[in-house]
Amino acid sequence: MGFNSIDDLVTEMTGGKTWRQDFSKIYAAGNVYAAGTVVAGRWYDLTGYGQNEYVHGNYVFNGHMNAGLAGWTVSSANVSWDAVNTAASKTGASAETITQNTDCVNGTTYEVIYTIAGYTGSGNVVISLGGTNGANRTANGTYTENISCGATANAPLVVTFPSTLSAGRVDNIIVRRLLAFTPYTDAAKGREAGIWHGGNVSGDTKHLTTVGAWATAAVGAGAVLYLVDLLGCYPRIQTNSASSQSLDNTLTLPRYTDGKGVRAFYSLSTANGANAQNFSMSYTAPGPTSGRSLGAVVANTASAVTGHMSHTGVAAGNFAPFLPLSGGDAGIVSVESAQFSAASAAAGFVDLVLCKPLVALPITTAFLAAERDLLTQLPSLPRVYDGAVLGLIVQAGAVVTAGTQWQGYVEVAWG
Amino acid sequence: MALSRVRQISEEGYNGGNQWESSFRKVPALASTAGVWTDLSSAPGNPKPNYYTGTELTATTLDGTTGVFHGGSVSPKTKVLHRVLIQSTSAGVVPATFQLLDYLAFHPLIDMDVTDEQEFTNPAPLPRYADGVGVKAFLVATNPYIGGASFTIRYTDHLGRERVSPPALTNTSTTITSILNSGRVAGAQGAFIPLAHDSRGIRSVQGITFLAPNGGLAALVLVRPLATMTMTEVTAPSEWDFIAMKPTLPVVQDGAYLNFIVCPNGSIAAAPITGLASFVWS
Repeated sequence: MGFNSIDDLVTEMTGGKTWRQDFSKIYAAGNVYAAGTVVAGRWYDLTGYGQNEYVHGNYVFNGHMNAGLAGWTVSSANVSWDAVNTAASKTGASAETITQNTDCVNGTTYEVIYTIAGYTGSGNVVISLGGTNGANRTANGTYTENISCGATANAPLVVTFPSTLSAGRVDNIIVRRLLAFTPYTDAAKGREAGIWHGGNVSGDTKHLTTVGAWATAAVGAGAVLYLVDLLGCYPRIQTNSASSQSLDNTLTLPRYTDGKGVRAFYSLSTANGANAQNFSMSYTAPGPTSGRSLGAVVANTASAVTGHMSHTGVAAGNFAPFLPLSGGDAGIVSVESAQFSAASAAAGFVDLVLCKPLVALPITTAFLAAERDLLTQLPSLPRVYDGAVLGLIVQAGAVVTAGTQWQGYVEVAWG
Repeated sequence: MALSRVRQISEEGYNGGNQWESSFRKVPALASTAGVWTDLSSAPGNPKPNYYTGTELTATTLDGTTGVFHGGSVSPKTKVLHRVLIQSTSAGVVPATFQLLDYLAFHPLIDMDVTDEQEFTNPAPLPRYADGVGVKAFLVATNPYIGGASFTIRYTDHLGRERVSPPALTNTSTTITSILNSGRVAGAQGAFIPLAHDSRGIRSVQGITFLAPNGGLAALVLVRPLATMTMTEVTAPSEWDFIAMKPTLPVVQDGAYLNFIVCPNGSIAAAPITGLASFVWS
């Protein structure tokens, strides 16, 4: 278990127990986040930016169909991948379907969002979950439905194209259980968000040995890139409500189940508009000790940038990168409720994310790799658990322009 | 038999005849662009330039002795990269990040104006990392191009499944040796072509499709990244030890063709890049 000497580390690594993974995150509008004008000093959640863009809480794999139709079963060759629009495209005169099994639960309501484009012909396009149909759709548009999952085995999400639809596309499929904790693992929900780390090593323990990253433009430097294990999220907390919003904890932490070392941040999934508001939440600390409140008044900042962790920044009451816990609390087991002190001007939403911080990389200069040897330079060898979903958040050091990238790599070893 | 103790580096490696140190000197002839990865295997100097010559669209391998030489075959021993030193006498290069790659195969003479799929021929499995795990791809210009077009590749992943890559936008650097999929505009990527979410590598590539004419010719190169290094300043060499400073001990397989790619801060034309690479085995 682990390494008991440098010799042991050498033995394990040269024996093949190691993995290296490159990554690239591009600050640019995509399917999930819209980018916008970054403000220096604020933190941003890179989960929704390419590569590996992911909508927090999505139960569906490859919902944006960025790389073919992996994860989807199509009824015939009349449904194919449209590379230009990155969508599932239907042609021909037969009724067709695309299907993906989910682990949604019979009788539970989920928000289902999808986009129809290129609608040509006639007839009803229908999306269903577990056998329960949503509304009939007969035109292009992005539709949101609340569907109580039916009893069909494996809770399939199915999009049905009618035979009378001569051509059409479907894209950007999102299935979320609002306000309910959605755990992330690298083999199920959330796996798209993660930097791959070599798979399960049960019996051994895996550790980060080296991490490096660099920015491809000066505006990407003066930044801090933070590698975290994304444990899951509570999707879509309303910012235009001053009421307490109860959070569901039917599903629990997938790793660090005692909550020790677990931290929280939230990021905008829909811009919230201007208004002065504070954020509070009630959580359970390790112990477990329930009914805990944040350790300070946290000021939420209005922002037009999705992905902005809007409790961070340089204003009074901002805390970064993680929400401040009550004195003496060493982590979070679960969050029971969240509340803004006033309603925001616009109907914004945030995703409240639980994570385990692993390593921070200060990026000083464009093109200069910030590298951390976690064995001898910063001896810590942070553990990477089976199933970990390694994600990135960043503190901007400048007004980051669209197209700026943070590239890098992680290297792990196990033994 | 793999390296199992640090003392073996000295006893069996440096003092036991199981070690090799190569020098390299690359002086790129062509301009490059900040933020666009550039392939140094094609740059003049030593080891000699690789011009990606071969049968059109057919997987072609490189002779390992023509890259950064690492001491030849050592099987059944295991060879690792121990140390790299890089320096440049030109401020135009630094700061810059380098990657040392094992070049596994390439598909030459891709016409980037063709918008139909160009199907590849694969006469044999990859010579190393044949299961595809950890194998990446990049598209490098072998003739000048215009850029600004997206492309996808159709490939067999590490589990033998057919997959399609997300569209990658080519840069407008226009110069030979530029890695087309990298750049600083929305839609461009890093050094490597992004793969489908569930792919951990590439066994083979079946074809490439441009979604719009791009201009120029290119080669699709399959590589296994081994190490990343950054050159910090022009006044001093940068040096890394892959045991004590970066405990990663990249294994170098028999027959490996080693060379570098670089993400420069500006044009590296006529900028000498020199260095040393040291390998040990046990």
